Amino acid sequence: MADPVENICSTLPLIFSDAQRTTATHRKLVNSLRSIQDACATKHALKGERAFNDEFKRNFNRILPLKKSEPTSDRIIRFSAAFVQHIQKKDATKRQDMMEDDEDSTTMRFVAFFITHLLRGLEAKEKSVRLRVCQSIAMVMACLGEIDDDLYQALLLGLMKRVRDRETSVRAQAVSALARLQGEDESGEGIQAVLLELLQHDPSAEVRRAVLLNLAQSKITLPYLLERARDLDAINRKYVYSRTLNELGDFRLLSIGKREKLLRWGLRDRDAQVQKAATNMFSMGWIGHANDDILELFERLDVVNSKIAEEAIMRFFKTRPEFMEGIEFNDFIWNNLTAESAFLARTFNEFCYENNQVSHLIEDRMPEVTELAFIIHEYVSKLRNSDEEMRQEVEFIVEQLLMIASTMDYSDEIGRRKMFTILRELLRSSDLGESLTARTVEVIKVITPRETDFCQIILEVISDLHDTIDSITIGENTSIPGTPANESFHSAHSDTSDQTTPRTSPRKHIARTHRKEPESPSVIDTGEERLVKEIIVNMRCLHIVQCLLENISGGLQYNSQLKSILSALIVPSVRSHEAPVRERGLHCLGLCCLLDSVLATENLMLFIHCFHQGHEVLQIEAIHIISDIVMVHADKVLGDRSLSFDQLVKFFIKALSLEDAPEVQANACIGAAKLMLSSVLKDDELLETLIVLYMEPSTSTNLPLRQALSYFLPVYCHSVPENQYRMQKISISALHKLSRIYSELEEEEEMLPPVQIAAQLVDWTDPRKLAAAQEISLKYKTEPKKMLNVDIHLDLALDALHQIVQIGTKDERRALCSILCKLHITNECNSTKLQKVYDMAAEISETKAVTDTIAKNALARFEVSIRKLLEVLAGDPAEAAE
Amino acid sequence: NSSSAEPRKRKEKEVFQIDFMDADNLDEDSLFSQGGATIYLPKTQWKSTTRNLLPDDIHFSSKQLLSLFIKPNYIQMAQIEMANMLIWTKSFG
Repeated sequence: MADPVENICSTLPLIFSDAQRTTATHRKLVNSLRSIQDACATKHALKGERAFNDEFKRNFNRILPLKKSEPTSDRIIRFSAAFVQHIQKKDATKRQDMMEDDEDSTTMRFVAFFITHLLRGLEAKEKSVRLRVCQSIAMVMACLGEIDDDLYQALLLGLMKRVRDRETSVRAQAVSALARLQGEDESGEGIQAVLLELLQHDPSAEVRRAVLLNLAQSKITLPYLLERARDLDAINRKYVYSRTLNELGDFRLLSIGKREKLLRWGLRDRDAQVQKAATNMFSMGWIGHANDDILELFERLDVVNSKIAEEAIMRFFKTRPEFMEGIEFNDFIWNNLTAESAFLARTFNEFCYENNQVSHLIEDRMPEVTELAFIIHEYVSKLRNSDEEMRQEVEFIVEQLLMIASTMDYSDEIGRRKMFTILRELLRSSDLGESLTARTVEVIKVITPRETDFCQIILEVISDLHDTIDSITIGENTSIPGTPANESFHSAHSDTSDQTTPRTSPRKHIARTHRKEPESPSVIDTGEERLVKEIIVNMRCLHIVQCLLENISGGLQYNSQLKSILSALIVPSVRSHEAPVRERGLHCLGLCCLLDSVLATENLMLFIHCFHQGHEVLQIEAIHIISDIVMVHADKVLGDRSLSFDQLVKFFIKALSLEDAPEVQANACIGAAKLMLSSVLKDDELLETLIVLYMEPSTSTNLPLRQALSYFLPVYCHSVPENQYRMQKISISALHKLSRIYSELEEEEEMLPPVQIAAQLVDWTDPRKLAAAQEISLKYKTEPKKMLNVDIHLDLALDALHQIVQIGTKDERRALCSILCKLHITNECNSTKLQKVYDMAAEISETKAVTDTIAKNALARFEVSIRKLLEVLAGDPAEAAE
Repeated sequence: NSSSAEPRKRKEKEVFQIDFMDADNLDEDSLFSQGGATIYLPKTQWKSTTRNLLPDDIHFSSKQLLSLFIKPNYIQMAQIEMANMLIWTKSFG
């Protein structure tokens, strides 16, 4: 047999050659390599070992300079790691067999040699060398037993530097290598701190992912890991649900608040993959940890207060429909409902109601109308007898039952009557909470098909309730000036127009009486008590009116009962000195205005007044009401007689300017957006205001405003040709304003640079985007396809050229030039305009008005491209005429 | 869609192999020559003001543009037309 050391120069390269091709033969090759190593060591002792090590190193070095994407390197690295693992295992077996503790074996010496070699490359100039070295260390670390302390310290030091490498992939490999050193000793804490910092701050998603997947879970690290559920990168977010939370196992280790947040983030993520991972976590993982018992799962979610439990259970039903067959609701359950079982019944019913494949389950699982009416009755009585602690849960149960009731079939007259009687009684009870009141009115609406009947029923309840005010007045206090008889609900017949005449409400008298007679405490007591009762009753009446008004659409003029409630309850409330009553009155008046354009015309100025005089909440209410009124009645309510278009625009611009009230700004923004989209408002200044607001730094933390505009603006521009032209008209002026804001930016303020704003403006005015949207809309009609707004970018170019010669900041000029290069201008454009644009560009170049090199070059390029278009048009007159 | 078509068009990459048999010897000194300060990420990129987290999602949608503020369940006819317009525009944008 030949000398193994002499042959090493041919045997090892052969093994490496095979190993680079496929990993399938690695196991066999690892064995061969080990035999050679053994042979060398046996025959020539340390000298033989060294020869083997050097030859191994020589071959291994070859893969270090290879590019990131070469699978050859990956295979050789895997092979080397497999070899390290194999020889260590051999050593361990040998040690066991020999019962000896050999600190210094061939294996140990090889491992030390190999790692020392790798350490040399950690700070190499070539990025591929650093990458391969870090990758090798990470791989070898994964299967490494104990190593020498000096080596460990050297590795630690080297890797700590590499997690700050310039190259993303090097950092990612260094992270996985470093993560393997965790928990060795006290230096583990240092490693953990560095990894946690990278997890939050590394600019690369790949590096953050490497930490997310390799950092050991502990009480300290878990919050950091879970925070990645909102990482900028969708894959990282997905891994939180599919890996981190899966490894965590039992979700009870999380607080209820955390469970709620994670579900909300995951199920409502914008990325479908993240949603899927979150759905799986809930429908497979969490239900499993609750012993496949949905009620047990609900108990851990706080269904009464949860905002996401409903979405979660709907996803669950959708992904695991087989579960639904097994869910039963027997008499015992209906008689002993808990928040959880009531919630399950309601969501089960809703899912079946909306999904045909399971709709047959309703009949089998849900009670009939009459039964349900009795069940509701039972829990309503329970509600009356429950203490403060129980009340919230019973209220929740009743609400779920009412939601079931609103989907029922009421063709059975007996059941319908029973339900009706119970609901009317429920609505009459004075202590019914607001959300239950709203639900009750909704169900009454469902079971009362005719709107006039529905109105009458609700109004009767209100009238009965309202009468109790009079009984307070008469029975308890006679020293206060009596309420005029015509203030009572029944006798009020004032029509909608008389509400502008000032009237003194009884509440005003009360307020005066207080101030005048402070020396008579007994009167104050009864007076105050009465006042409080009266406010409570009024608030309740107004709330029921509100629920009623939200559910009807018929005209006010044809409904005399409704008119009387307007003059007897709503109008006096609007004038009340009690702020809550007044504000609720305004809300109801707003709802009435939606039903009647005359009433709306008369009251628009009143709401404008509220906006100017009121606090933030009232300002928002005014914006809502005014926007809705104009949305519903459009130009019927605008004009000389009430609010002019200009006044309306000014109103919005004023509201949008309230920097200290971001919520007011955001609501004004949505209100204006709606009216602009429905083409009620067509105003350049308003659009420009919105653009500036969208970009300027003062709104950078106003997320509702920013997100509304980022949805609205492209829709606005790309849907209607006229809108896009309006955007073109204001683009350059908006850019000018924004450039100035940009040049005066404070240090902590952030804003898009003008060049990027310009790119956005070009996109909004791109005629191709408009055309594509229009094309889809015309798909089913036979109108001929033609390019819309064909000259729009040409017009934008003209505006930009005009502005270039004006005095502006350098950033603005560059932005203007960047616009020129991105425009969609073709030979379909108007040739006269093209010529004009060309002449102007040529003139600017000639006069040397532009000195900035970048700007000058852009201008020259633009000039050439327009000249070419003009040549094409001149060469083909037929095409030009088209 | 161009992104899905691209990989199919690309022709089979030639399998790269190292000729380990050629007895080529890399110079370790040049292989491991030190990179100095240039191999580090600039310190300004070590910290992120947002911790690389998404801003809160308000989930703004067409629903908010189409419904009334104070009567959210009430839909007008004009709004149905507008809803279609929004769908077309968004499906393109």
